[in-house]
Amino acid sequence: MFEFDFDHTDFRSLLHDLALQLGVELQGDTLYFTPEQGEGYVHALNLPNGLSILISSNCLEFDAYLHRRVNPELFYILNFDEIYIKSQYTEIINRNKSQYPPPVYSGACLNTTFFDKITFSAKGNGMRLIRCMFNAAWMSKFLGIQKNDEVLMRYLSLRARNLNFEPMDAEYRMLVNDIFNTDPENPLLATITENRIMLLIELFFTRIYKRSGDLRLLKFSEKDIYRLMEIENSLVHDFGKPPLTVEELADKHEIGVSKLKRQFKQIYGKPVYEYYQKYRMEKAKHLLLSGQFTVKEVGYSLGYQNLSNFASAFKKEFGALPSELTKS
Amino acid sequence: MIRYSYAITDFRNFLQGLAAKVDADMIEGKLVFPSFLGNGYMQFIDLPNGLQALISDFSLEQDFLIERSKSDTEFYVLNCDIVTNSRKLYIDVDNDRMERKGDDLAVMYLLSFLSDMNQFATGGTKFSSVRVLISRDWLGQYLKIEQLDQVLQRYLALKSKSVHIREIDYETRSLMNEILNPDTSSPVGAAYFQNRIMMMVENFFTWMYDQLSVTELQIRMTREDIDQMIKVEEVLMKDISHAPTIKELSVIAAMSPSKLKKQFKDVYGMPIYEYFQKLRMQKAHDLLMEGNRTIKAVGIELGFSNLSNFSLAFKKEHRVLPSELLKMSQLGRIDK
Repeated sequence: MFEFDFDHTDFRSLLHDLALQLGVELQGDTLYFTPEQGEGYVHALNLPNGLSILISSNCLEFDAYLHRRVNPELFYILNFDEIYIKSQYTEIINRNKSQYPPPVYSGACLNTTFFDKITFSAKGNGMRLIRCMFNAAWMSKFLGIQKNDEVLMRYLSLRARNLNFEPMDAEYRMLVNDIFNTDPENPLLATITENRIMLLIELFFTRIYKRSGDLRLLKFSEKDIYRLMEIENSLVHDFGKPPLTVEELADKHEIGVSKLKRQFKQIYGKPVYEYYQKYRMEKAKHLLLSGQFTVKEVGYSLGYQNLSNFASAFKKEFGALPSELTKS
Repeated sequence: MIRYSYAITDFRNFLQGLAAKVDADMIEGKLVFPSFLGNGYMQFIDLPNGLQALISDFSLEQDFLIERSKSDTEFYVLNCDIVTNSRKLYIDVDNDRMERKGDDLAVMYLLSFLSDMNQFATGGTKFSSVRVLISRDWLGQYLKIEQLDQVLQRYLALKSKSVHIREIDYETRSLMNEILNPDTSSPVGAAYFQNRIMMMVENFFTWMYDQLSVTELQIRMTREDIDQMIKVEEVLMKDISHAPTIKELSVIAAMSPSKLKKQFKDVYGMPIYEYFQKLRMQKAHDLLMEGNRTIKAVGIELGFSNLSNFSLAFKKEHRVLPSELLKMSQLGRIDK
């Protein structure tokens, strides 16, 4: 088992030490795992606006035990994680343990360097991680949020009990995909990455503020939340195929239909099919704006046999026809 | 008419000057227009990442002319303007004019402080805009600097010619909408404006890079080369009724005719005379649409001794004869 202890307050120096420990030479600011270690990379960068960022996509051939130790210098670490769990993935925050069940965990959460965190990931787990680190001064300057902000304090106190994470929905995932999919040669890479990261941060804080008055979420058991993550993941996984009905979903995930409907709406903000359709249309918008596909290609790839159905669904969502987005 | 002349340093300064000019107060960066000028406001915002934005949303009560004299610091302004209900508006950049009459406009373009600029709009014009002030250092940090010089210079070389103006697309329009009608409940007030403005900036520069296809420019033109071509272009267009010879131009550029031809095409995207002719025909179009000249007068003004040559050249560019254009415009079938 690979063990790594750290308490860094910026990801570049963390990456440097991680590479030493793994016996791998860094290429610039990127660590590529050797074929024996597994697949993937860890990339650290400092954005022009002062954020320290870590981006990683990996699937490792060894068990990893990572321990972030308490650092008395206060830094915030925002995590956007998608983890495909094969056998075991455990987090222990401030001695409170969460063991995430297979097959998937996808969530956003904010931690601080004031409490320690142990992550155990068994070999064979696949993951995409985005982490941002900033201090209170940065948060005040860029977000206008002070460290003693009431909502933030409440959030963090629950977090110290390893509670309170925000499931990542399709809106998060689109930004995450952009970060992983931008061509490294793109002259605007720094801008594109920084903009997506800032939008992720905005989304995260907007959500936790919106939810801060809503205590119902606390009544969810961990099991409920993981199950919903799995349901959400399977729902938006492939828009090319017709979605399962709510009954089929409930059956597959061993949950009652009405409970599924109610809980899904509470966590993801919309009824199941409205959610499905909204993100199907978001995906359509994204593909159209990329300028690489015709309206026809986009419509078919999202499972529309009839393009005028696609056009009117699109117009309903955005007030514009798909063809209007391809012109620029 | 209200006429406001200034030398820009930043948006705060610009807006303070305007407030003094119209004898109104600027409160927390916002100038609410006095009723004789119009209905609405202009507001500047300092963004946490060092950019400044000027947000405007107003309709004019009377004609308004803004004159900016050039400065020698290298700053750029990205303009995203939606203009409706205007009888006439124009933007001058140095000696180059982009003019529109009576049609709505939704455009993005980049201007440099290194040029003089005037903007004019008639009373009644409704104006929504977001402008972003960007320093060269900032651009260097965010865009890959080795390509920046080439792309930026080439872009500015095109000045106000229609090529470089981008119609505002769906995405930018939605972003502008979110900026002009902000979600006041956002917990991240500072980041809200910055994120949307940054997406507009990203959008524009992505387009600019695509348009001026960076790869094609990998032929390694220096900034001096491009500046040289800008000079050549100025000489070429000085007298629209008469083009200098390639030989004359190559003396001015201090390079061989073949190098000159190649570099001109690299910067302006077409051969020298084709470029001259294209702009000459655009000018012909503008003059005809002004409506107080005959076809013959326009032809002569543009240096055509033979009117049928003029008509043919015009048709080649605009796909209609000058006479057809006039007929169509009288029937009101033309917007521009």
